[in-house]
Amino acid sequence: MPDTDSAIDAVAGPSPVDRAPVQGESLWQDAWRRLEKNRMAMVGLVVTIVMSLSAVLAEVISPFDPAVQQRWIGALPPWSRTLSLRNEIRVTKGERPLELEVPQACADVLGDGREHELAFEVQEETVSRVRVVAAGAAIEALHLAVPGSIPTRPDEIVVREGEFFRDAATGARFAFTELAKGGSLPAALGVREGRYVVPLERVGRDAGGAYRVGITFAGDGAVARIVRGSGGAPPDSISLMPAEIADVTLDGERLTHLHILGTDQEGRDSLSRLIFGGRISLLVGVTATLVSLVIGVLYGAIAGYVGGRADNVMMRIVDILYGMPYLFVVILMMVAFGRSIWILFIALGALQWLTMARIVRGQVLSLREKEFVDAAITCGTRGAQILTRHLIPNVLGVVVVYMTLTVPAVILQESFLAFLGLTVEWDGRPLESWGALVNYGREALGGGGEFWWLLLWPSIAMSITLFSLNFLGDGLRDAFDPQQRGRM
Amino acid sequence: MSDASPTSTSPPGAAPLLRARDLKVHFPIERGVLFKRRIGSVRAVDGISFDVAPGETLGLVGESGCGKSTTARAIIRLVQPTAGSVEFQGVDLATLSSDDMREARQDLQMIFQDPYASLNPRMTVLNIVAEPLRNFGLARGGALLERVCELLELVGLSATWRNRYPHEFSGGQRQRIGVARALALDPSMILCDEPVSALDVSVQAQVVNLLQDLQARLCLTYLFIAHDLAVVRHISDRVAVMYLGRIVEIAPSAEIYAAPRHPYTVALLSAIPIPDPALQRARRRIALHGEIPSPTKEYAGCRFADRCPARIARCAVEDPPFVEYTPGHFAACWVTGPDGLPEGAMDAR
Ligand SMILES: Nc1ncnc2c1ncn2[C@@H]1O[C@H](COP(=O)(O)OP(=O)(O)OP(=O)(O)O)[C@@H](O)[C@H]1O
Ligand SMILES: [Mg+2]
Repeated sequence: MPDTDSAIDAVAGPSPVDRAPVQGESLWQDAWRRLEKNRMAMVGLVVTIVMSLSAVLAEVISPFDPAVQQRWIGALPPWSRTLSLRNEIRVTKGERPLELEVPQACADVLGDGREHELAFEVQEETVSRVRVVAAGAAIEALHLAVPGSIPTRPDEIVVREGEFFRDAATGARFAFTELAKGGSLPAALGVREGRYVVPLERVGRDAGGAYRVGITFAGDGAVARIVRGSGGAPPDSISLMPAEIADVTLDGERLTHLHILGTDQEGRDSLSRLIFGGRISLLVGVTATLVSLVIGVLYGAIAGYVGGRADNVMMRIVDILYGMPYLFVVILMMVAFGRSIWILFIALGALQWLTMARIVRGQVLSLREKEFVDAAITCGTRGAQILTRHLIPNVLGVVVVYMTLTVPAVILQESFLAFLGLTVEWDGRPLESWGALVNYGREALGGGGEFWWLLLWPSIAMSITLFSLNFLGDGLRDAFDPQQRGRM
Repeated sequence: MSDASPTSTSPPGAAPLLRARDLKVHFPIERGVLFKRRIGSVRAVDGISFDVAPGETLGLVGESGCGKSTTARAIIRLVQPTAGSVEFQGVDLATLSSDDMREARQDLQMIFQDPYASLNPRMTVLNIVAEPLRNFGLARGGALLERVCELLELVGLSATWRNRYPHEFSGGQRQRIGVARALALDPSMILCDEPVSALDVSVQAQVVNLLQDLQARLCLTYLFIAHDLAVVRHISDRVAVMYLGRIVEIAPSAEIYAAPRHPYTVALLSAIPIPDPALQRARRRIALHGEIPSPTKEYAGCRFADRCPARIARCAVEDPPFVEYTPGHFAACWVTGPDGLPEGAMDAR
């Protein structure tokens, strides 16, 4: 048919392949465009992304270690400043002279006439506490205590001969024995805890005007002490206490910490706990959803595609599992196999896949009847490719929507378990999700409601996240909804 | 039905390309949760026979639900025929293994009813049209792209649209994509299942013209399904009228419009609008009354008897035979005679 060919050429012009193709918009792009227009969904998406990022970067963004208990700053209301000298005090074991300094910066912060508590975090898990009583502009007294570490056998503390104080201003050193001889400091200083008077002339001052005293004890017998000063007067006493401290430096450059959301009764920063709690909640939500995704999509797709009796049996199994009291199952599993986080993932995922399987099966069942599947069979596409090329890509939209809605459902379920006290553990440490924090807050609330923030923050965080995920899920559903799109 | 002899429905002087004999498709109706009981069946296609000659277009017309699609789907084995044979190029498709059937489909393709459902919305036009070529390894790389572009231009689409998705096209354009896909394997016969029913009237003619044009260029044979006689008028060489799983009349195109023999055909023809308003007003449209036909029911006599304005007592009790009245013109009706339906038979009672 030569004339027919030339007719085609006339229509086609010079080779149609060479003309640049117009780029089409896939349904994914189309859905994204719709989603972009949905303000609530976009807010949900942004919040979800922020929450996820904060969960991933918890170590980086959380201002404090959420696990460290510091009872002396316990139950502070939101927007509290604490004077933590953590990072500013360095304590190491050693035999060098102990130097403790009351920094000017410290005096500035503390001199507001109120009683403050200073947190000292000392390495080697020895925690000290400083009580500052500031009556006027200057510090009156610092009590540095080492709670619980006073040795039961005080005579183990031995003061070595020839050890010395150092005058920070002049650099002069005073032998300890010399000091004892010269003043009222007993020679048997190291034997007992107590208050001792340091002769004024033995106390050095540095360039900033801070007072310095240095005492060294032998071995593990260590010291904390009080430097007492009043209205510019030099310290007049030191209190000696044994602890595993050999070297303490206090430079006082960063003294205040802002606990934006307050602290809990153990002195743990609420914001940090919230961030790490979110990590647990989201991790459980996402992981259990992924578990349900893998099982549910495979199971549902096979049931829907194979159909017939196999489908029937498979879906009856799902129905039976659906009828099981899931909470009971999860509790049983956690009792039987321990409170491992894996058990939780599996238990929650194993429950969620049921709905996923039903949804995917329903989709595959209806897609299988679509004419494009018939068309694919007609043009020689084989079974496996029908599944991968035609069915699964068309199910994915619904799967994504359902996944987005499963994550909050799982978070809520896990919270419920945590609320019942079924928290999971990792390395022997409890993993406290938002649900656990809510539970803690509820307990702390007690009758009076004075620690309201402990309940409020995790509740708000959870609500915001659940709302966001649900808005996002709804938005995605609308974006993928063929009805709304009015075509297909 | 039994006296519908195998050769009787072929057009004069041609060996048929497709020959369906006593084709039946019954869908079981099942009850029960785990163990299904069969409580009846939908007789979607209930014993039909017809031939299609090479290069010819056989129109298949009938109201919705009468089994037209099922007929086409049984021929191409998207559903398994319950009984009967479908000989295509001398091979009985009904008994082929699924692998052999896959090969046979290279020469027998189908265009689907719903242009919105027949294209995978996640695939680009390029991938849709290339799919059959890839499946049979007929082209790859540059040659594949070239062939797809050629096919697109052939059905009147710009090859520059090849990277677009189905939802970006109008119904008519989508149907053209379906045509391009059906043409990709260079088949000798295409089953067109209501290819224009879902389209706007203005677009219908364009697609019908395209199909006619392609038939002339590529020597195609069509089974062209439609639910009213107006659409098949231009394209069909012969027309078969189907009612509730049966073919009630089959005749050369000109004849069926000029001298219909079955009351159902007459009723269908009366529903075609006539462009001349005066004539349209003058004409009486035959409205069909009676029970909506059910393919699950068993009929002793003519299936159309309940609704037939011309029925006689015999119709309800005895199945009318398929009789050839003039060469190539068959009808199954007790009322119609050698000279067609008696005068006034169609007047409503
Ligand atoms: N897979 C199936 N299972 C059960 N019944 C079916 C199936 N497919 C079709 N049917 C029934 O068979 C009958 C004929 O359906 P078919 O789709 O062939 O009709 P049609 O003539 O193509 O109608 P339309 O013009 O609406 O496309 C209908 O009653 C339909 O309900
Ligand atoms: Mg149909």
